Amino acid sequence: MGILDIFGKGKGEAKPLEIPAGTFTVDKHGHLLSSTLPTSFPEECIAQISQPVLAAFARAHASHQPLSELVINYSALRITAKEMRGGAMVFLAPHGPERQE
Amino acid sequence: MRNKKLDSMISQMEAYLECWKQFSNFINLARAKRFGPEEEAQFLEVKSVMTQQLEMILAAFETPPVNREDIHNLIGNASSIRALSELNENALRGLENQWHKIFIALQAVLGQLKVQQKQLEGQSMWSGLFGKKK
Repeated sequence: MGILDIFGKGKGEAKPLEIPAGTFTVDKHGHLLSSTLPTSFPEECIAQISQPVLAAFARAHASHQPLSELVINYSALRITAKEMRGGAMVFLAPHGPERQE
Repeated sequence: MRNKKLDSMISQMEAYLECWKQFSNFINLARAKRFGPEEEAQFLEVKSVMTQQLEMILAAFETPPVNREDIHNLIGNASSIRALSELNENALRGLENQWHKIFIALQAVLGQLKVQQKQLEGQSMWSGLFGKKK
């Protein structure tokens, strides 16, 4: 099995994506305007985070509810989104036992 | 006529100005001494965005519309919310004045961009009326 392991490594099991700490801003159409996240962090992930956030702000605006900040707590990640004239500034703060050193 | 580059610049400037508003919110948190590690982390991120975006804005203009040094001085003088909260009222007010001066200068730049956008729209109206007859 030893020799097979050499070939297996690298293209084997995909490691889960580690979410970095940082922030990004998007306009009301979801276009990325700025980011302090590492460039290795995929833009699709940014879109996956920003779409529901923008939708929530848009729905709140449509129903005349003053919503300026949205906080989503996951066990390993806290997302704080601040409304910016239809767009949003999103802060990613990963946390968990392995990060509390 | 619409200029996509100009539209995107206006969108960038508007987002940038929102970041400046956030900066002011953090000064208020410092004054009220209502902040924790999360606010500190967010403050650092806002400053990072402000610094990065500034370069993008400066790169888009032939002559710099705002002074880079002024902005760097302001951001440099606000190392953390804790440091701001330890400043006396006069120093904090000085920092606010510095912020306000730059904020207004940036608003003026946004205004100029909007004027250009309006002029382009005006041109398109005239070309719509007369241009097609050629």
